[in-house]
Amino acid sequence: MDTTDLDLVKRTQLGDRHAFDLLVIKYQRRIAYVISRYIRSPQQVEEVTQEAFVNAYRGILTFQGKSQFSTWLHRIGVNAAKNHLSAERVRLSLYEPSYNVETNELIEPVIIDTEDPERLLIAKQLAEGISNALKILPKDLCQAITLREINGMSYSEIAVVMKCPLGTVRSRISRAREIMTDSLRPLLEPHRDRRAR
Amino acid sequence: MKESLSMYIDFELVTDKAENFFVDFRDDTDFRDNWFYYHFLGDIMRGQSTPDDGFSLRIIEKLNNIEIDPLFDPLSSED
Repeated sequence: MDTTDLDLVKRTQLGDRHAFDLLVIKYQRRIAYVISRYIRSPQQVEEVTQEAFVNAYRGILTFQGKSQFSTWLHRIGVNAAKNHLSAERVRLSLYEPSYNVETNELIEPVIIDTEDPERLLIAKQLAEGISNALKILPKDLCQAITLREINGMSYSEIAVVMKCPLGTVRSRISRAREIMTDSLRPLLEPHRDRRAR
Repeated sequence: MKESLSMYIDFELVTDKAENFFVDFRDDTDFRDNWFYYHFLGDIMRGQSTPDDGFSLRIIEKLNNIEIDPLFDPLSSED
């Protein structure tokens, strides 16, 4: 179980709206991608994504933690997209979400809009920026963040691979994120709307 | 504090410490920025990201007018 998500859901259920905002920031891209498989218009994708999060927030008390929050939210997104299409009598695409049967987890797709040259270019610039940022990291920091983000290893697994204490893994991953964020800030900031303050 | 945020994102911060963490940072803008950046970095590394363009903010603004409804089930009309 994703304890971070569960913590945030519980806080939302107790009335902390900021906790749900963090879930929005974390998942809006994934949900928009799912919806974009059903709906072509970017404007409608945004509207339906908003609707999905509104529905999730309104009904947050029905989330009991029996599945991953991401799975629950994914279903709400698909539901919102289908309802939208039903209302507009638009033909469904053939896309169906993928699941790993053994772990009962969603298989996340690669989220790149190949039909929008401008967004594809920005995505390419960000990927190149990440690649360059990884090159300037000290080797142990680069290895730690890669094992975490790409390989999905836990801190204890990384400690075994890197033959170092758990506390060292924590500091290496944190430091790597800090250095990469500072290095990429000019590229990242346009994507973080400052009005969120 | 950034180390705590980093650990929390990776599900490596124990719940009782996370509670204090949220009390301290709930309204901290740097926390919110770093939350966004750290997730965004991970998404890009995994090839799972497109730009945000203020999208999340527009969702958050819309939620300002929404109340939690104990009787509302968002999956009630699911196929």
